[in-house]
Amino acid sequence: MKKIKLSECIDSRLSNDGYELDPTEKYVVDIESEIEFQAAIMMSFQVMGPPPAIKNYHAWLFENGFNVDAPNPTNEFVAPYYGVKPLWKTAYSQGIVIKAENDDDYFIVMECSRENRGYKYTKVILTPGGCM
Amino acid sequence: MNSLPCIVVLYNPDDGTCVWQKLTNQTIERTRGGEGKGFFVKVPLNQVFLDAASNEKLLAFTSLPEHIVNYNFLLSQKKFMQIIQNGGVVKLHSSEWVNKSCGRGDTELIVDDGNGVEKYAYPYWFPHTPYTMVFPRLFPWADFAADEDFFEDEDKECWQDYNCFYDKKEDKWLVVGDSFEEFRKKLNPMRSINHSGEVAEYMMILSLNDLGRAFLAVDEFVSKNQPYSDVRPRIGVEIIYEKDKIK
Repeated sequence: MKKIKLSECIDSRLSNDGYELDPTEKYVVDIESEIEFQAAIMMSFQVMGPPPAIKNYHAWLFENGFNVDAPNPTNEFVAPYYGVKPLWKTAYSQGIVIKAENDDDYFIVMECSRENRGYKYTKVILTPGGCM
Repeated sequence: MNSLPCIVVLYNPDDGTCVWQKLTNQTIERTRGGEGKGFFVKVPLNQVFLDAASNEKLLAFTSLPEHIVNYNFLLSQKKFMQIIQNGGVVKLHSSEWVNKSCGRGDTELIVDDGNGVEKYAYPYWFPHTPYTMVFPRLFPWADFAADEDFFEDEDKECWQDYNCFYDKKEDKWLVVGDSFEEFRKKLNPMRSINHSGEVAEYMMILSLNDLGRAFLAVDEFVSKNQPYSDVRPRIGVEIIYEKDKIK
């Protein structure tokens, strides 16, 4: 397992497909220390508007039978992707499953690509309370 | 005992009435108090052929073997299978009242055999069963695919919602996910249009599955005069087959 801080640059060397996070890594974060930065991102979404990448998350929810208006992805569904492969990957974003320290819940992180003006390489925790 | 249900009907030419009785182990009795060589059946005079009460009893008496019931069911839909096999189009159009446990709805087949279009109604309700479970049971010989022309606008709207982003600065739409064609391939083939949360409208194109193809092959075989069709396996007996008789 690899502990990371989403608000910092994880690896200056980008992968071939332009992302910092590696879906085959089992990432762990300290959720308490991430809250402030994530709250700032959410505020930015409301003020500036969300990035195009958010559509990829909505599409993933829709295709997998989850509620788009009240997202309800489950731990059971995302667990097989942890450290294996991304939930989704497009030119605009990839969805990665991570875990919190000392917690059984999984979290979905969306890493925005450079195509998202104002949000390049931003990593957003889409399920701040953990998956269901 | 014959596996098919049998009845005896007695006709009175004086007044034109008919009375009837089932022929079963229970109704057929031996003469002379059970010791005789002959048989008889008591036919109730009030069991009239064919009033409402008799009709109900007769329908309950149709204890056909399961395989005959199911074969007849497939036979009733053979026409649609043949039309598909010959290049025609069979569409399933249905409206389901999704909030009614009584299974209320309308279901029909729209059939184009190349010479014209005809509709065949299935005026049934299907209580306590979602229509997505009803269709494969109603047409077990078919695979289902959404009618893409019917769903074009609905699919396009959905695709735009989830895969397109309006860039205000550039004043243009960006495709941020799947193309429309890729998106459609991921959609449920048994999808519906939601009308006000009350009615789900389906329009699907039927194609033959393994059961459909197998049924047509079997039906073609059994519909023809086949040689040796009267041959049966026997244990320990040598049989010399001659046409029209077995020695």
